[in-house]
Amino acid sequence: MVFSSLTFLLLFLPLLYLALFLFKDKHWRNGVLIVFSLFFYGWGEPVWISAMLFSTAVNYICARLLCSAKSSFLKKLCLTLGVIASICFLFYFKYSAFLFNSLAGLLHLSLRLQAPKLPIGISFYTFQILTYTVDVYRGKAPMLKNPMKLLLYISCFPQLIAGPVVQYGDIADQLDSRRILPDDFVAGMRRFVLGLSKKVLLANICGAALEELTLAGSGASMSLAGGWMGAFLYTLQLYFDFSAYSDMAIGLGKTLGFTYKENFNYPYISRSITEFWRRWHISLGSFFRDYVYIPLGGNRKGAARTVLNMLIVWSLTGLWHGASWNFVAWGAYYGLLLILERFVLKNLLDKLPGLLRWALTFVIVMVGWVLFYYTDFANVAQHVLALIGLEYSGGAFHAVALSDAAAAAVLRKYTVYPLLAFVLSLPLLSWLKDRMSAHEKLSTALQNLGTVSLLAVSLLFLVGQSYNPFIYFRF
Amino acid sequence: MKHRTSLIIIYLCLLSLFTLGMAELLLTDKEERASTTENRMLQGFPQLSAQSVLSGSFMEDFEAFLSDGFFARDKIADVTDGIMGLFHLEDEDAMPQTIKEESLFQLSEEDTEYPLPEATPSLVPSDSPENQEAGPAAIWLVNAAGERVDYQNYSADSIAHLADVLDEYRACLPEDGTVNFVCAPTSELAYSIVYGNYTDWGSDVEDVLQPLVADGVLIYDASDILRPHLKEETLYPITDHHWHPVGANYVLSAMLERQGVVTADYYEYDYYLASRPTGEAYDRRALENMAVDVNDVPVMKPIAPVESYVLTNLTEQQDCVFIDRSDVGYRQYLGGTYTPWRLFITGYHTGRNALVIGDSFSNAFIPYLTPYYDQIISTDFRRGKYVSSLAGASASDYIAEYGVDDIYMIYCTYTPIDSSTMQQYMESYLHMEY
Repeated sequence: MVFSSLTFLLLFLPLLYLALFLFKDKHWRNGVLIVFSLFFYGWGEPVWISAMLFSTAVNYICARLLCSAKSSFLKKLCLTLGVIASICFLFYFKYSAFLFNSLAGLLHLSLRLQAPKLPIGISFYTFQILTYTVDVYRGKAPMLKNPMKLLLYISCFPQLIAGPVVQYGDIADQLDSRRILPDDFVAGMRRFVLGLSKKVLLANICGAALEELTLAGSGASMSLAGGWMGAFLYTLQLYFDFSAYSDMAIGLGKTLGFTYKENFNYPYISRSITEFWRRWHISLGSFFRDYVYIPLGGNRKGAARTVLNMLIVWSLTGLWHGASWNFVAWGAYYGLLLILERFVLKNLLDKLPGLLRWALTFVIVMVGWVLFYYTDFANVAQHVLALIGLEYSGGAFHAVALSDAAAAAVLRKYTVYPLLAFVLSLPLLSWLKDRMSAHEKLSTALQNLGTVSLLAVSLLFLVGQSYNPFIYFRF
Repeated sequence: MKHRTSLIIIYLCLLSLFTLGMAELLLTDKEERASTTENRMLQGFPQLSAQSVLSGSFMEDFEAFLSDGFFARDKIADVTDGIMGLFHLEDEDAMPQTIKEESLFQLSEEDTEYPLPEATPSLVPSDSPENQEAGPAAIWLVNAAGERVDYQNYSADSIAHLADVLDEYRACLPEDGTVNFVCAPTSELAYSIVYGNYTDWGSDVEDVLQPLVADGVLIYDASDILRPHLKEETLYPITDHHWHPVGANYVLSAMLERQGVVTADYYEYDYYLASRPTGEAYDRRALENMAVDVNDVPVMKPIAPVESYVLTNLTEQQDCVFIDRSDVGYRQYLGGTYTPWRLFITGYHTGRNALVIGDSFSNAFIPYLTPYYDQIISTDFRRGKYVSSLAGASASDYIAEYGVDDIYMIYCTYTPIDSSTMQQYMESYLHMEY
């Protein structure tokens, strides 16, 4: 089920709150939440509930054995088993066909492996399960004796399908004791509606414009304007789509008594790539930092080892997004940029004017999204060349047209939307909220009015417009 | 508590949502029913069974049921369109759900993948150094000295790839189905002969392509078909790069006759003259010395009334004009190009259905095809003309849904064989997943 569906908004959510209102006892409330979460997950693909239950059960057993083990060797063995089981589980569904087919291609074999159907949200919940076993091993958080609590942590519907990646250590206490405060409920619902409207009114419309512009992802015969417009639209679509989901997840979590960490912090105002990655998909960055980069030695073992660690982490980050070489290349692109920034260009970049650094970062990020968008490197090359006004055909480079009919048509049809979306990707609302803080009554009234209006308009668009996929579900 | 009023408002919102949801479940018609405004069947309440739940079809249909049955859905769609309209420059009619081809008389970049000529087509003699590495197939003219000069030259790879694509389409058809392919010369080649210094035209693309394709894929040489009539009749109105409908009819007749079907002569249809536009061809320097006036375009009157729709999401139909008398010249045929798909219910009962894929040359072709098929669907895969998100299904799905028996691929030399349309889009849209 998706948050931006009528089933969720008109039936699931009100019924959930009604059930939570009826059951005051915390154990019953956890039970209600598990039932609703499994229903949420199973809606559309009920068969994959079993995969999630299996993965949860394996790690529950490993953590229990780990805690009861006497020697550190046995503890490590249990940890290793749990981690390997989770990674193998993810690898089978997501990467087995990719690896096999890549190897077969390298060896010029005609064999091809059909990829198994991917359980929805597997990348997110596998990482969460991993954090449970590792955090228990590290003593950062207690082992859960009650398997239902572990199931609640894994399956809790707000963050189940598309994150944020909630680390067990950050939420362990809340599984046992949490309170749903009225003020938190209000704040959570406002955040949810804000996310819903970002998804429905901005991400979907940017996505529709992009679809019309690129015609299913082909970069052929792209003009200069078309190339930039496509990259710009995808940059906005991706941000609003994913950050909207995070807003909704964080908001819904708050209404249920959970506090999830922020996942986005206006990434498009960044003035360096390092800053960008501190602001974009923060929970994934934190996961790789805490569970891969630091265990590899981080930056404590000399420059060469730091560079190697960064390359490993960023290649894995890319691969996490999808079983395709373009994602690996996208991860490596950022790995190299971060290494360059850290070891080579830092002093030079510090001397540049802020606006120039911002513009440079924004362009680099846009180019990165081009790499992210296409699974075919030929299309990537074609689009990147179009960005500098060139195309390669017949063994030579040629200048592309300045504009084309598709770009002009999209500009006429969507005119203000991309600019409006770009302005809204800046911390405007947060600035406005700060300015209004001195006028509490007016601020509250405006927020109420805004929430009700955005909910109503989003609902109208959900009914009236059909374009509604969530991009991050495929990861 | 700081936010008592806010909390009450949010509770009220949730209550309203729930009431709306329950009211929809209880009050909406559970049966599948037709929507006259959307020209499609609206989803009824899905059948609940273990199989439908496990396969996920129940949930999918349930979502559609909630959406289709939403109160005043048509009006809501109008409101959202209105809101969208506040933010764009284009008015509602000019860019609704379908994109009408902007101007057939001002070619967009995508139409012109080969550069338009200055005075005459940019031709390269076959034995010139530039042409030493030329491919095995070309479209050419013959100059006054009797030399063959190539207009377009194709590599073996592009020809072979097109053959594969044609075979893929053939594989989607029943056993007796045919795929009929033609790439017709545009007016600039014709003018070079009729008004210029060239004496003949020709193509060996067909000779190279035909042996590469499967049975049931038929390749036609339009230059051969049109050659006997080129100097005798007006095959191309001089206002336009398109062919005159008489040219379209000659090609259609050749195609059907090769399939063993007896066809109607061009003059057996009634026509009226569409107002005379001055188009891109008239404005060219190539025509400066022509001592002729622009001519009107004859538009055929279909014998049987044809129902015409724009198709989206495989089955959703929207009325669309078949012959648009309010437009000018060639553009009256089908009212121009619409995306993503068209459906024509011909009023004939032949037991066969056709699919026409092509560029704007297919617009004058389709009316002549109507007497031979019950239903014709058509599409234009060129970049900027096809919006796949509106199509909602692959070409193979459309072929299956409309029971297509024969496919006609009607292109002109402005959409050459090595264009992205033929090398990329035709293939990718055939089995694209949605």
